[in-house]
Amino acid sequence: MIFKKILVIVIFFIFLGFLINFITSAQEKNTTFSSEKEVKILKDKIASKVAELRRENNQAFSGRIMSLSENQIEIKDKDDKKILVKLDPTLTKYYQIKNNEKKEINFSNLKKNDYIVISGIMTDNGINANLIFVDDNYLVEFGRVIEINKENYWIKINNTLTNENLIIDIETYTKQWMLNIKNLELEKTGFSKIKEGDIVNFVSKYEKNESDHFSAQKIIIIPQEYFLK
Amino acid sequence: MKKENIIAIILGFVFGLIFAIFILFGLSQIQLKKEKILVSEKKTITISPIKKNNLDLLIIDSPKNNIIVNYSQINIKGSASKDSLIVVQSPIKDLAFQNKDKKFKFDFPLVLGENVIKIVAYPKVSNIKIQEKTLFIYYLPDEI
Repeated sequence: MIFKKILVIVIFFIFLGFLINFITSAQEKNTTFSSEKEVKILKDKIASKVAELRRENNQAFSGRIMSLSENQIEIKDKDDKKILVKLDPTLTKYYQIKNNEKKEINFSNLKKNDYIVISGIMTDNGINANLIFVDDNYLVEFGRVIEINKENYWIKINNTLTNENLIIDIETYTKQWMLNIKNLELEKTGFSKIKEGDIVNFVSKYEKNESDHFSAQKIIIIPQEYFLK
Repeated sequence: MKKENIIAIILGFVFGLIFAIFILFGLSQIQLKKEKILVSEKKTITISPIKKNNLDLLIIDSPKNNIIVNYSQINIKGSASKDSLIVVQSPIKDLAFQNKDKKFKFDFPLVLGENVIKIVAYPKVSNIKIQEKTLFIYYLPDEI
């Protein structure tokens, strides 16, 4: 009889031990799970903060490559200012922009005289580049027509603000538009309609052709008569 | 000399002195008033404000130059002389319009990478200088 009682008590304690152990392990699991969740939330928060800071501090720069080395590029910007671009072998990514699409390239694809757009953070020592895009460089200018060469299809224009003269080749692919001075609509036109004294707004690649002229991609002609109205 | 005579002389001197002081003081006050009147009578020269010319500078309020955007279209807001001809040109889009009001705003498309947008204001009057602004906008969608 006593033996039975002792056995019941022992079983009860064993059961109690199992129960305590089960509850403790369940609590531990729960704690681990919640702390994992907290770490994940913290990680997400840090990532979004880093992205936000990058977004706030990121700036865009552009220029033509003057020299290249393993960890840096020297560019000359539109104001002829030399800027050092610092590269990070693990962080900096390179892309080529063509026809409004980007394709990933390598550092080895970059070459001297390429026009690049850099996204990164400016420091005292230069730009810490995150992304580098090889892009087209365009010249968008305007001026008054001061000379027309009807044999070789070029026009010389004078920028009235800078007093600089530029020669533009009107190519077969050049889109030519003229302002209709009555309704101010842009209408298709031809080379023969351009007169000395007209204003020409043009877009061209920022590099001269073999004739040392700019090849116009498109022009807008504002007839001088517009200003005489 | 009699005592009365001496008193009379002294009193006469004192009264004479007082009278002289009054006269001199009165004269100087009158002169000062006259001078004040003369000063106040001077015509006030007012500098009339320069007649406001119809010329307003070409200003681009937004977007800021050299910004990175993650959308393929921007809204350009600014102001220029009323009735001036505004010509906007980029490698992908041309636009010309008359600035009916002083302020203008329009949507303009962007291409991937650098966008050079030239905005030129040709004033209605030919003897007023042409004004221009160039915007460099970077459309880098994955970057942001």
